[in-house]
Amino acid sequence: MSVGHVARILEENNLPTVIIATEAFSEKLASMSLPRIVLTPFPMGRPLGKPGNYNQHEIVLKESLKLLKSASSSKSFKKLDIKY
Amino acid sequence: MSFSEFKKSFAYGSRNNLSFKFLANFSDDEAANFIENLMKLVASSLNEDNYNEIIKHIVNGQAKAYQGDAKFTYAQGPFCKMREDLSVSKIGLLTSTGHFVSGDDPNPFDVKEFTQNDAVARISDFLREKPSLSIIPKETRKQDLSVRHGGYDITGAKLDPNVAFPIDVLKSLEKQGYIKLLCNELYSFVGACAQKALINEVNKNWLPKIVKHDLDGIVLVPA
Repeated sequence: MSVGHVARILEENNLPTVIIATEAFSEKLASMSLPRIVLTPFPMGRPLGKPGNYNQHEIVLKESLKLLKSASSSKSFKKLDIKY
Repeated sequence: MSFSEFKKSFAYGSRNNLSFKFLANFSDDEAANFIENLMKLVASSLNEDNYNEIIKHIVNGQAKAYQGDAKFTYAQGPFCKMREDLSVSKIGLLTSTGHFVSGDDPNPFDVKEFTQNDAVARISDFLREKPSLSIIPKETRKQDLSVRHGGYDITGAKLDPNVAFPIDVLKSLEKQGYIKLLCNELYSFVGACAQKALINEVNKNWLPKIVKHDLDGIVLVPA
C-alpha cells in the first residue's frame, strides 16, 4: 500500500498527512496504523468522486482538510456518506 | 471457457477490465452472485432510475474483494498534530495515481511513448521496480496533465484529473482562503511498485524535495 508507506515516513518527519481513499482500500490502510484516513463511497480510481462534479470533489477535500487539522491521535477515520 | 476462467479474465486477461479485476479475488459463487445482482440492477434500470444502486453494488463488490488483502501490518504508527489553522496553512498534494505533465513523461523502463496498454501489460515489471516521482507545478492546466497506471481504470482520471489528483479544487480552496497556500510543486507516482524500493526512495530522495517547502500538511491520494 504505497501511499500508506509514504504517510508513515512523512509523519515521522513531522509533516501531518491525510489520506483520501475509496472504501475498497479500507482494510489495507487500517492495517498500517495510519494517522488520518477519509474513506469515500466511490468506485476505485475516483476517490474524489465523479468526473466533472466539482462540488462533490470540494466537499471531499474540505472534509479531509478538516480531519487533517482536527485529529488529535493516530488512526483517525472519517467515512463520508455522499451519493456518487 | 469455464466460469472460473471467465471471472479471472477481467484481471489482466482476455477481457481486461480494471474496474472489474476484483472478480478474480472472489470464489466462483461470490462472483456468480455479484454478476447476477448486477444484471438484476441493470434490468431494473430499464424501469426506474437506479444509477446509484448500480454504483453502490460495484463499490461494495470492490470493498468485499479486497478484504483480508492487507500485506503490511503495523500495530503502531507515527502521528504529528497539525499546528496551524487551515486558513494560514501551506498544503501539499501527493498521489499514487500516475499523473505527470504532458511533455515530462517519466518514460518507464526507458521506453518512449509508453502507453496505458503498455503499462497494463507490464504491471508485473512495475511491481518489481522502484517508483519515479513526477513533479507537477501547481499552475499546470488540467488539459496539460497525463495519467498512466497499469493498476486501475484510469478512464475517470483521464476525463477529469480532479477525481484522483485534485489540483483545481485545491487551487480553488486557496483562492477562497480556505487554505492559505497550495504548494507550488505537487507530486504523483505509480503506486504499483516495489514497496521496499519505495520506502528507500522516499527516505533518500523524495523527503528532501517535499520538506524543503515547509508544508503544514499534505493530502495523499491512492487511486
